[in-house]
Amino acid sequence: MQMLIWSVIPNQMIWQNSAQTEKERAEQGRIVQVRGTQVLVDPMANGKGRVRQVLSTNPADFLRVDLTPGSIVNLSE
Amino acid sequence: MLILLNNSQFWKEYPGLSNKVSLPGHLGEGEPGNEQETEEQTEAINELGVLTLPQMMGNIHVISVIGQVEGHLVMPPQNKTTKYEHLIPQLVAIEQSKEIAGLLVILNTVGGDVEAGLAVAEMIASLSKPTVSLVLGGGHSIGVPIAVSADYSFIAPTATMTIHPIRLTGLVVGVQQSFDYLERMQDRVISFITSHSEIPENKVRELMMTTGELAQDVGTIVVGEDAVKYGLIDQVGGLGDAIKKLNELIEQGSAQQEKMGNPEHIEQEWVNARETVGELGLFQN
Repeated sequence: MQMLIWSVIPNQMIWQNSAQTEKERAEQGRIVQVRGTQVLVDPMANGKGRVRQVLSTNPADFLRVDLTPGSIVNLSE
Repeated sequence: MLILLNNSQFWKEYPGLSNKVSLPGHLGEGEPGNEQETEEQTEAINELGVLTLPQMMGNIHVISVIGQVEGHLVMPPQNKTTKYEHLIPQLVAIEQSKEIAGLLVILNTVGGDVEAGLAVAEMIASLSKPTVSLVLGGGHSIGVPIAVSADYSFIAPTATMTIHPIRLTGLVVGVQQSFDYLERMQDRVISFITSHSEIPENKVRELMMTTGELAQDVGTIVVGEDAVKYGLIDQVGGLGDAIKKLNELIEQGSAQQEKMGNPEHIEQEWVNARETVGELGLFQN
């Protein structure tokens, strides 16, 4: 696979650990909508998830108490 | 009773919480509309233990480009990345939304995928709403076209931008064509940079090919003020300056739109058109 990468980080540093296991990939979290805002969550048991990151362009979403990283949200909403 | 200051000029009282504070005189009589809101908030405190923050009404949205710009390949987990598939739908939403008046792009990136970076830069450049970019920390490599793609760009005095040749990863066949391909890709980036900033093409190439600046590469590190001097970035500044400029651009835009939509303005256009027709002697019998 050929790819143009233009970065100040050396190539060998970017591509180390590039052989990723299925488990590691699952640990990268899931993107869900919580009351209109996209968030990256770590899925937990019984349909809930722990917020890892808010993926929004609206700065007001980062002030929302219910989406503070670490808080638990319902994934079914 | 607890009194909290909400972010507007009004004091609010929350009777659900008991600590005994006497109200300052003028706060005794609340506005009639406030009572229900207070009740709802009390319920939120009782049921969930959280207090809903007053809604911040802002018309500026923010995109932060941090770490590597990630495109065709998922990068290994030690890389912090800004993903193409996150940014593009956000940019589309910003373009479509009626509430959003402007976009602030904050960069602290080490570079990344050329195609994804150029795609983001083109999207920002073609956005019809005012855009301002701010380079904090670093806006290296493919961060350069993203930084210049905004209508107006700022760089923090301590921020740096590295301009160096593009690299090709993966299997590279050692023939002339490989180098030609790389050269063409480089031309794409350079033409984007020069068409969206004041820097002349020969200057970009000169900075890109300088030896003796970087330990492991050719190229140049451009610091804050130098970026402005070369014409790459419009101004040295910080967050305050960037927001102020963006608000100025938004105001200019809405003033212009008002003028265009104004019936009097259209009327005037017709008068002018009729005069022109008269002067030229057209439609005369």
